[in-house]
Amino acid sequence: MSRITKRFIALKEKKRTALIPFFVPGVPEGMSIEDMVLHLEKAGADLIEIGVPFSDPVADGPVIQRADERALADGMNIDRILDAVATVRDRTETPLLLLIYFNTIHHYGCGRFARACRESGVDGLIVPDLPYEEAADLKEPLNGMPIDLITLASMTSRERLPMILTDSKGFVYCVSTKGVTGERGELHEGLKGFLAEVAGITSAPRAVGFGISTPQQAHSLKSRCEGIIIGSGLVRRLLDEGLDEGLNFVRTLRKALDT
Amino acid sequence: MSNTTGRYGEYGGQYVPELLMHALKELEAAWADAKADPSFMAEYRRLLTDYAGRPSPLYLAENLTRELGGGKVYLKREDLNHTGSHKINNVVGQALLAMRMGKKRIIAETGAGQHGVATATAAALFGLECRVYMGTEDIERQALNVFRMKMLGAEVEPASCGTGTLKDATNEALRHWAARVEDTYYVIGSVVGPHPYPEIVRDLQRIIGDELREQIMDKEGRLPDHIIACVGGGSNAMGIFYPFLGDADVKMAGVEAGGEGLDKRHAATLSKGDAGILHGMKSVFLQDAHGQITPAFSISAGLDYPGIGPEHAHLHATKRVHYEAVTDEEALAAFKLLTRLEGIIPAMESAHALAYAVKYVPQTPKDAVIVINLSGRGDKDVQRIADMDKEGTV
Repeated sequence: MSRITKRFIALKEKKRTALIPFFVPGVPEGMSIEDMVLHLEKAGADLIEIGVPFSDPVADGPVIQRADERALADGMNIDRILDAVATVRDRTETPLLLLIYFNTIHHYGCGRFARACRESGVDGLIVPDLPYEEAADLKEPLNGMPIDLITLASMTSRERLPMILTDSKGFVYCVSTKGVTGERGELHEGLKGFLAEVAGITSAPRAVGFGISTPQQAHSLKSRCEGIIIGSGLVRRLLDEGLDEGLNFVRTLRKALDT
Repeated sequence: MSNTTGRYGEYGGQYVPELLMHALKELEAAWADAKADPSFMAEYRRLLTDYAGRPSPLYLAENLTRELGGGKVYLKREDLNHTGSHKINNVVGQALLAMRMGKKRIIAETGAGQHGVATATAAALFGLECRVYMGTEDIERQALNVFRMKMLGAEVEPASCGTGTLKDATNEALRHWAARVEDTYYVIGSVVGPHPYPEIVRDLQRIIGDELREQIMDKEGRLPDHIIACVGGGSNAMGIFYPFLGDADVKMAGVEAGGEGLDKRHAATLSKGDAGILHGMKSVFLQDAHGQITPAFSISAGLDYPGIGPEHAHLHATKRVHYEAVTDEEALAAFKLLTRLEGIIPAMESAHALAYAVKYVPQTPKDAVIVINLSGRGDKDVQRIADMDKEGTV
């Protein structure tokens, strides 16, 4: 059983909705990946997503693009991230996932990448440009490893849900809006129905991401899913306002989910 | 290997966010249906004839032939099409498809602005709302085309991220499409992107090669020995090559943008790139040791792209087509040569194909028949070349 699955089982017993923050290494400047993971855990994270910066992040909005550009300019790369995961792995049981574009994996080599992830202690992979039909090359080497390839489900591709959710592992990443990552004033009106539809097909936990930016949104979602993912809202604060503001935001969301 | 449709050997596929998969499946079905509908294809052909001015002439360039001293050089005059390049062939077809699918809004990416202008033109003709994404660097070097698009009623949206060129315009168009996928049709301008785009664009550009086959049979009574075309994403090349792929005696060359030279900054994807995934396709891309896409560089905005269409990557792998790069300097010299010798000002993109011919044709026998795809006219480039002349950089 993967560390992600174990964590969701434990959370269910505690009746707690998972808080899954996302960060890009090197933002804010000078912050190590190891320290950021420990800070986020302390602020209330149940799982943590590490964004592997890419030159052309087509599924991401302007905030994460800006963070990626900064990270790349500082020389961040996949080897450094895997090394950092290996280091911090001894100090935390919080599941760690990589958000990574497929070119980085392909360039590394799917088999070699899967082995490197296992050795470092990566628990899950979210590959935003690798839909179900193209995933075989990566699924094969991951087979038998305690690493979950997370399925992304979209409201705009409803008829595909039964197919793509058949073998979902870890959790289902429910994309809550159309478009790319970024903060949104209002969540899509069809979200509730969509989350119910997903639950009707799979028993895997559902984590909602893309567009969540306020404690009110988090609170309103807490009983409708098993986790929420916070990306751009956190990255923007870390970029523009610094570590303290970023961590305060995480604490506020934790509180909104717990009350 | 992943088992999907839309593969050219190992290349192609559909590497897009799940969010777009529904739209791609819908497009696949709509295209299969339209292609099989004689009334759709008849309307497409009618517009190409009456509106775009097809067939484009096949011109025997006698002065150039004499100058090069080898085989006979023909030019396939795509520069004479309405809007000034081969891009209109594709856009007319895709705009008809968008309307057939009930979409009232089209978006496009553009590098040199030729595809953007063609898309804005079709939008004006059919009364569609139109937005064109263009890199900030390209907006500067192709100011005339920006103005044309705006006059035609299109909104030109600058893409400032990354390198501010075609790659970044494509990123922005894909992001926007994901946000507005329900009411928006994305008109991709080259044989790139996720399946079914490379196939749609090829099917709509093959008219170039189909016409050439008839025209050359008329003039020479046989097929050409060699066909030469420039490649950025590769749509004009795929259009002229495709109908001849089964004719083993017809040699073909795709000419990449060698920029300052292959050891410096360039856009020679097949010469210097590796297999990778970007813009929804597995193909060949310029990238660094960690798989980050590296900036392309070319004097020609239309060839300034760090990738290439997946079918070209496959034709390169199987060696059916020979790919080679020429430098900015060689392309500029060819641009000037054709202008002076034939009174035809070629697009800087097409000048790359000419530059290769300048090197290659002198080695061919007098009875050889060579066809160069003159994919576009150079009006859009004249201002920039005038500026370079002033700076003394020419």
